[in-house]
Amino acid sequence: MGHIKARENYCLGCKLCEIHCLVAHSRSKKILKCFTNEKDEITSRILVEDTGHISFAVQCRHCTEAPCIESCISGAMHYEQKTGAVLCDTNRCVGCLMCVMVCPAGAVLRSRKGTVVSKCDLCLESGIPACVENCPNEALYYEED
Amino acid sequence: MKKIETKYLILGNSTAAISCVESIRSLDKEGSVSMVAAEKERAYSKPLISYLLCGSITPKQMYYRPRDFYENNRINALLGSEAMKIDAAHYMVTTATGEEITFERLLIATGGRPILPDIPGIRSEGVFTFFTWKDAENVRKFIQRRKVNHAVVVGGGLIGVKTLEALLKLGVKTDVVEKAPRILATILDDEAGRIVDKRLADDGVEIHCGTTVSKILAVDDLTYGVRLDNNREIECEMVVFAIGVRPDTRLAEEAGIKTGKGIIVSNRMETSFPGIYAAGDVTQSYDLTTGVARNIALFPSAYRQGKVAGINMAGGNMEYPGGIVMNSVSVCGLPIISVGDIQGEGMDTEIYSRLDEKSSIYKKVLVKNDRITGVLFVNQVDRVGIYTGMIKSGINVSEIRDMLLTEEFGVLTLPKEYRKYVISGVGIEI
Ligand SMILES: Cc1cc2nc3c(=O)[nH]c(=O)nc-3n(C[C@H](O)[C@H](O)[C@H](O)COP(=O)(O)OP(=O)(O)OC[C@H]3O[C@@H](n4cnc5c(N)ncnc54)[C@H](O)[C@@H]3O)c2cc1C
Repeated sequence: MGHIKARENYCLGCKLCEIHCLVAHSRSKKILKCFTNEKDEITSRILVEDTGHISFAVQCRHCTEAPCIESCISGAMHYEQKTGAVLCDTNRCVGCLMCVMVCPAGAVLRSRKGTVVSKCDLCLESGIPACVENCPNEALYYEED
Repeated sequence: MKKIETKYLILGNSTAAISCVESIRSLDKEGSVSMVAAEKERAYSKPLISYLLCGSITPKQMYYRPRDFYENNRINALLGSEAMKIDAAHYMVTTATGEEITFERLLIATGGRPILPDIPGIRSEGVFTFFTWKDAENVRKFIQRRKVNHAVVVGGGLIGVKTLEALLKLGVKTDVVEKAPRILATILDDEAGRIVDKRLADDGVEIHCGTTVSKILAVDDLTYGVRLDNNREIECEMVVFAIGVRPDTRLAEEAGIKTGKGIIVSNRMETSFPGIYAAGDVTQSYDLTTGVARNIALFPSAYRQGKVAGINMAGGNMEYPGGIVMNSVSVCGLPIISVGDIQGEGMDTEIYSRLDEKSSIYKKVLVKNDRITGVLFVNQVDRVGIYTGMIKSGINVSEIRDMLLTEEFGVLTLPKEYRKYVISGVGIEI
């Protein structure tokens, strides 16, 4: 498995990563459609922090001793067998927010409805993470371990 | 008597037991593992029973691990069989179903038992505890059969509140009786208590604080109400007791294993008897934020302790430094997260808080000796984990104390070295 990494001083704070994350996790995968029809259903799984001086994009770090997995009461949060990525099976998630309580990076977010959680899945299905692919300044990059 | 020999023997089949087995198998693929579990079901998640009761999940979703878990991990699982005796000197456990099992390493992960008060009428039909899948099933059936309209939950702790949530979802009018001055007394402060009370009142839930149930009112053994110790009576068809859980240390005590507020364990989760380990709700742990030895009966601690025990049982080396009390709970849909010691306000405590009464948002961070010791967030709980992480790692916040509750607070605000650790991921070496 690889990791998404960030270069702290390169981030412009443009938030394109957030937008492309939304699109990548929408049903339509189309930017316009997803913003008109699905806006209330999807949450970006990457979050741009901005202190005024610097900005920085945070998403799940795919910990090898993931506190969210240890705390998950439903068994929804799990290591994907092949890659070891930390994934949430939203069909099993009950929205108890134990993972939100323990993630040291604050990278597990509540879905819009608040019923299940939403987190980075490394875009495993499509290959390259959408946030990395669309970062205009290469502040985000993907590195195989 | 059926004789069984095993390298590892696990008593219990819940959070601590499962994480222990997984850790054993991560180091030892061959050694024989046997498990003795009082309940018949495959491992399921206890905290899900309230979700099951109100129908927000199906029975299928109760299982904590897939059906083939025991087979894949080559576990000889004796489900529906209670361990009756530990013979520590002979490394042997006997079960109610007639097995004599000798072991090299033993894990006691028998959890706790709900407390039922010894009051008149306690055996009446309509009185329940809410602790196992079977309890949830019994409560559900009873509500249907008796067409329960009104219930009383005794005890406003985590389990009581979760029971309340489920009953409200089912449309059952529910009162709560709580001995302390407010519900969730240990995990809320006055301000959060006020917000919660208002929400409960808006939803028509009556809370009776500072009192307890002294008698179950019943005719022909069928419950029709409760009497409180202030002599007030509440009519109801059903009473659920959630007044606390006691660590189930009987087997350990009879075996001569040291107990206090639970089975006493080393930081390798080994009991006073070499080769015998204990983990989860049955143990006494060290509370990292208060420095006090206590029973921490929470899911994440059970998981972690089980893991540490398993690694050490299989010949590895791992330590459990202690635990933190943390709760994520919703009251009438109002999300609340409380971590660490949010009560311990002394002269040496700095308090940072923000209240937005209109939107019921409340945030509070307690700092002692430059370390965060507790956080309490109501109705806006996003990213609380960042604080939890700092509590666990004992991060010095003297440089960032002014930022703690600002909008910008996040990973970027963290002290540099710690930030690196967080960004690289827990368990990943930098
Ligand atoms: C309704 C409810 C809601 C909860 N919600 C939360 C929550 O939101 N967050 C949280 O952190 N925690 C929660 N908890 C607590 C959490 O479930 C426990 O901390 C956790 O399950 C402890 O795991 P354990 O393995 O130590 O023990 P347990 O889960 O108690 O399991 C012990 C097992 O051992 C078996 N056993 C006992 N004696 C014997 C014997 N002699 N022989 C064989 N088997 C035996 C029992 O049948 C049981 O299956 C909740 C608990 C309940 C009941």
